[in-house]
Amino acid sequence: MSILGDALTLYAREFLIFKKNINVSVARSVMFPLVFILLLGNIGNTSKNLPVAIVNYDNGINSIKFINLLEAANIVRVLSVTNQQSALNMLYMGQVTMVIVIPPHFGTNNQGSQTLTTYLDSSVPFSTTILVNQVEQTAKQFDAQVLSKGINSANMQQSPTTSFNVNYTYGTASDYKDFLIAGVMLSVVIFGALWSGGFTMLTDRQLGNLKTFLVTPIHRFSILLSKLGMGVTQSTMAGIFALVIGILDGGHMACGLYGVALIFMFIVLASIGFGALAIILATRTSKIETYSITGTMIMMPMWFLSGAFSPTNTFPPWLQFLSAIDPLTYAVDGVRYLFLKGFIPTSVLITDVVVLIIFSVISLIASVLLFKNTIE
Amino acid sequence: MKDYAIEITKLVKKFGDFVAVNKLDIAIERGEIFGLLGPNGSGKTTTINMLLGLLEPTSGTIHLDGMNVVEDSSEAKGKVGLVTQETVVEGELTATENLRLFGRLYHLPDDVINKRIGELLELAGLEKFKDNYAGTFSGGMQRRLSVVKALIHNPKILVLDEPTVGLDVQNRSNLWELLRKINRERGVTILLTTQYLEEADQLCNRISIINNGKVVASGTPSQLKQQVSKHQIIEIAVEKKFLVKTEEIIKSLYKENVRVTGDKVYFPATGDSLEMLNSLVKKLSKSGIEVVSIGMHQPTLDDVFLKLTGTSLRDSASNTDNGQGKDVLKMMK
Repeated sequence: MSILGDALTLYAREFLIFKKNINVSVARSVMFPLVFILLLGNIGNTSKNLPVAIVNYDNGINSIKFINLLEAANIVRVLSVTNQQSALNMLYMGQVTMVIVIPPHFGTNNQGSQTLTTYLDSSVPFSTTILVNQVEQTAKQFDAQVLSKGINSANMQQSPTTSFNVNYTYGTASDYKDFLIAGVMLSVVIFGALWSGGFTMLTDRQLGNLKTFLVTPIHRFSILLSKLGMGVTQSTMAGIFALVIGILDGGHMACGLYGVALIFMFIVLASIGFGALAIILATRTSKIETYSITGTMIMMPMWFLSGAFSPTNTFPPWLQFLSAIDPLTYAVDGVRYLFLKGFIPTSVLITDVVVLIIFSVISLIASVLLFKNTIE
Repeated sequence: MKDYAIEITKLVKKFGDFVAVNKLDIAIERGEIFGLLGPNGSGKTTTINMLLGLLEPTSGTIHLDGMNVVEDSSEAKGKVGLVTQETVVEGELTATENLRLFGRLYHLPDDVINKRIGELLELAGLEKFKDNYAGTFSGGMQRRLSVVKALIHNPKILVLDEPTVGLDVQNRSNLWELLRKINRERGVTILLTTQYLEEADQLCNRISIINNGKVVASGTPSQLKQQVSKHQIIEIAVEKKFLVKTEEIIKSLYKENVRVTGDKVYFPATGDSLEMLNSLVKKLSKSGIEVVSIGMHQPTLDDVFLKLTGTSLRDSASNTDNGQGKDVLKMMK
């Protein structure tokens, strides 16, 4: 019989165990997305109390009114700065997200008095849209226009264009929760790999089941495949739960069914690579404690660096480098495109998929080689 | 060449510089119950692992029912069933599902599997519990299930690694009965390792004691016991402070095979044992040694084991719970 047939037999065994412990299995898949989306998704909504420096050259009644209105929505926390240069310095230093310059005689008909100049830190993208909308709406009440200048504090350069330069990293909805849901859908992959496939490989070794499988005439690769299959199943399930919980909690998904199919392709691809990684660990360690600690130590950084929680382009350069060599980054990138923007450029899709396939192949080969000497 | 169930020839296994198995020769005839005994790190487990095709020998050959375990790996695996030291049953699977899983892994057709499941559950006395989860079974039931699970593919050879560890006396004798039945009725050759000499004594037709990867003694249990002494073993217990002196006196009188454990001195009797005892007690009391107790027993396998390997099997086994040997192997890898 083929390796695949044996793998299916062993997968059926895993599935029977899964079914017997259905409560635990489902709880495990639900808990993670539930906690992250419901708690972090709502806590981490950083579009509140955004620090904004205001340089007020007017000091008239209208400008005071404008500032009060702006503050009323709780989106903005105003810092008054007397000098435009020091306000811009604050923007460079990341102390404020935006600088608003109020011209003299604001709100009157004098020439030039109806244009608010705003300087925006476009490298903190998820607050910008909300901020700009808020400023524009408030300015409208004074018949004022907003002239926005984008500044990217990441490279300390004023951008050449004076037009609006918002980086829509989070998509148009630009809600942290949406941003997070996409990240969580991929983070579950790591948990599926660690606590499903890899973990049962370790317990099978400890309890002696593995030895009883190895003395049968099956190819040992089929054992590995069944573990990977179970990891993929668990990850996909958790991914579905993440999607459902996210949408029930008010998240917006920009893509349609085709996009969802692509999202799950990313989940499956990443599950294979990370599942193999967990199996390597499970064949190299003999204690559950060692496995848990080492696994968490390896997976946690990959998880944080992937941009699951915050956009990678806001990272300092050395973290951006680490993030670029983290395979999970590419899976998160692909899913986030689809989830937030509803499309994915072909070049991005190809890059993401190729990186994930290379990662999966390498970790699969490594796991096969290392599993070869495992006899109990 | 004689047709053996298991034939191990000049088997060598090295882990780096460490020689775990050193030119081991064992031939087990069809229908035998054969015991492999040895202290930890003696090469028992390594030998079993090679026999099961889990480890590749450095040199030498193993034939199972004529099949070379390296060259005809797949066929050889079909000839042998394994009962591991730990009771390996899937608690989350029913008795039937447990057996079916292994039937499939041995690539048996479904109708054969179903037929055998019925037979084997009956053999294990578990037919009433066929749809119960194995996790709800008692220790003895689980162990019986794990034994018949190893028979799903009708192997000619059954290998048991410490089959009765952790079982109480009653379950142990039940399992012995089951193993005898399997041996007798199904003609299965049984190879077992054990740390209970009583078990080897009760169950095995023949025994090999291995130490440092070599066979140091082979034979039936009674042959081995006779190697120690044809006569009774005398044991004298004295107070601890007299122990060294007692040993000296006895050694000066009888020379051979005097050994000391705890507060007792053992030595084999020669000639008229009663006369020996009398004169010895007199001699000891003359030297001011008070004898606490005195007794005689027929030689046991424990005496054999001690004489041959210098360690008591049960002591070394219970101290490390068989972990030491494995650690050595892991270090070697």
